[in-house]
Amino acid sequence: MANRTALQTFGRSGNPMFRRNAFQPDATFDETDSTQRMTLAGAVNKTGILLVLCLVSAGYVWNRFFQSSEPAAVNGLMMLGLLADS
Amino acid sequence: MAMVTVFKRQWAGLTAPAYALLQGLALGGISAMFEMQYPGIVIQAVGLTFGTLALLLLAYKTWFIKPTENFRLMIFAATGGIAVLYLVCFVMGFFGSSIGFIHSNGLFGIGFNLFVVAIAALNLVLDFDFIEAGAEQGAPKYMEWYGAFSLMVTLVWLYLEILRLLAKLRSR
Repeated sequence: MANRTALQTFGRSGNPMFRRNAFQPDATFDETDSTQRMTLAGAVNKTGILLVLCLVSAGYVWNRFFQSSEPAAVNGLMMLGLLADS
Repeated sequence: MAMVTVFKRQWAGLTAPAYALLQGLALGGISAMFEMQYPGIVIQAVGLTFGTLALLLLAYKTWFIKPTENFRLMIFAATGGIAVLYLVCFVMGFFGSSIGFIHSNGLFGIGFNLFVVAIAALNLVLDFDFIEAGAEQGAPKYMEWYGAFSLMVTLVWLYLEILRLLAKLRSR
């Protein structure tokens, strides 16, 4: 674990988000002091925040869908949601 | 928003939460439509998604699944293959055609869907490894958001595939 390099680890990731050598050292790596570095706990917390945000907006659309007798009422919101993948 | 995050990962602190909120809008609507057609399907899909997440996290932590170079290559190839197949299907859709078996609820359609679910689940292992190695290497703070974002992208994909699989099973 310890002696692997970031590039070895990330160079062949299957996740499309990781294909661009995400950890290739750039200027921001050198300028970063130790308190401003990534931690495992920080990433876990932020994943939790993203999950909650996603659940909140999903719950909002879900409620609108089932409260209105017209399912088309949420079409606009769903279209807006497609921006997520752009 | 996903593309912005990929190209400008320094902005992930803003774009990742925006992505999650927007994706929620789409997921809420899609889930509600599935729920209307197949009552109870959403809670099953959500449960299976988080169950898979927990199981894969355990498998990763106990080194039951090791993200070796070959493993990465295999998942990368399979994910790329699925992406190309979906893209071909999407383009064929414009011409009123489709690759029938992918969306069918026959044995082959369900088998294919199971394979996609497995690949999506194994992508989680790569996400865990990415986050852990990023922390080990002392990546900048914004990479916490980027790692969380990538995990969300995989989870959303996994959820949608499980939802589709359950719908196929119910429609038989």
